[in-house]
Amino acid sequence: MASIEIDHLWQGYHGATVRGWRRRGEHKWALRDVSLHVDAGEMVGVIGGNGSGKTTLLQTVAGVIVPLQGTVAVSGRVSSLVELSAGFHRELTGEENLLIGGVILGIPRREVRASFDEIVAFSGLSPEALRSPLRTYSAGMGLRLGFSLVAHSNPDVLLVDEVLAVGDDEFRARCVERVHELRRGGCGVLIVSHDLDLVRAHCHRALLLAAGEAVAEGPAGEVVDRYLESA
Amino acid sequence: MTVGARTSVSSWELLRALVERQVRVRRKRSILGASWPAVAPVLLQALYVFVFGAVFDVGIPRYPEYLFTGLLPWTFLAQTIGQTVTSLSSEPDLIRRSPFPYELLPITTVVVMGMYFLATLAGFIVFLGVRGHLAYAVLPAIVLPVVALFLLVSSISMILSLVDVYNHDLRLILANLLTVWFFLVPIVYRPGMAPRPVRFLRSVDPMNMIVGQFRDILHFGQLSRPLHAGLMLVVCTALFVGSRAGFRVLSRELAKDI
Repeated sequence: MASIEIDHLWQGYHGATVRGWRRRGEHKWALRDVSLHVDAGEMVGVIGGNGSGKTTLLQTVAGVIVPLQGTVAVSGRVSSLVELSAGFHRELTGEENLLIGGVILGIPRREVRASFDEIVAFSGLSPEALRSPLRTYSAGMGLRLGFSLVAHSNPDVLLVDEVLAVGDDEFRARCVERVHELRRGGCGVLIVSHDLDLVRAHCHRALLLAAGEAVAEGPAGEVVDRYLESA
Repeated sequence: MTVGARTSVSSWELLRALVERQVRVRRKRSILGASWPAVAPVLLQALYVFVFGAVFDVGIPRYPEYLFTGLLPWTFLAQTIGQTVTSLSSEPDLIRRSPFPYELLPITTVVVMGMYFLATLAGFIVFLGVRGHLAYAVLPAIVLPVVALFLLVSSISMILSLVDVYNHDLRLILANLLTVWFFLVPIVYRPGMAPRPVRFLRSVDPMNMIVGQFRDILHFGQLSRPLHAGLMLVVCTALFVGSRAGFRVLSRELAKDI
């Protein structure tokens, strides 16, 4: 069963004037006729150079932006490991941010409460840190908190944008393992990364984007090799 | 098109969380933060009572009460709009990350400021009651201008916050525009004191209708004409429905533009 079904997707941005107003009728295409499916329990990587359309693809699947042409269908709840500190406030404590920020990021409060201890244990933050404002955290601590929250939100579809490089090696390994745990539970994972080794080692399939077009799709190792040859 | 369920959080639960976040943040590292929206109209009242009651005598009986019936809804409107104008621009990461009804961001501030407004209004009603200046029979009608005021402030907040995403000039000139609007509405003076063109502008100004209703009920102790109350509600409801529909259409590509 497909978790994500992308069919002939076209996505683009308006041209803008220097003063910030849209230019009517002008589109800079970010994705051109891209199709992809991700099955439940499958991890698919999206690779490509800067500006190839990877993040736009993720934002469209997340429902943040609406396709200009084509369709994107997802089954179930989508969680995004993107912009991990979004929804958090610097003045609130770690605990407050988990409970309030979780809802803002689309996770019902009862679910955050139910898995609160698990989230905290996964983040590795001390009880004292949890009672301190986020502004006193290092960048890594804030990202750990954000990752732990989203990673325990029981998603059916997980979108990951370059954030598996969070924290130290030990935490990074736990993050990757947690994503696999979710995948094994039936979650479809779409991961955008410049880390080709990670895509090769952990993804079943990969999609190579270049200037918004899908130029290769198939087993992760083959697509990564194709990208390296073309780079 | 995009299909499929993406979140399990209802708009109501999300609004509650956003309101809770804003209330908690106001209390952090601030002594005045939590109470300032309620204190501000009282301080402004003291200033205007001195200027227009003592220095320039406008000759209005029970002037402090007359003034406060206008100043209270006005400060709610002005303070709220001043804060909501950047409510979208200040959350680019959140908007680029999560799909949700983005109008909840300005509406959150309206709700938070509205709580302070209602608390101050309740205090003022108690004050009028203690002074023996309250007409209890007409008091329930205060609900109508309160509802109209919330609809008006929400409408303006949604539209201005969206405009600010595309052009930041508005936040620079907003205070000046509000000052002009303030003096067009008969808050510090009697309605009949303004020249004819101003009176015409006032006839189509929903804030003028709202202040008139507040004043009729709380100061003069009488009900406004049903036609006036009905017109006020129709205008404010139409503004709200139109603004919300416009916001929904114009914010479809917000994550791309912010």
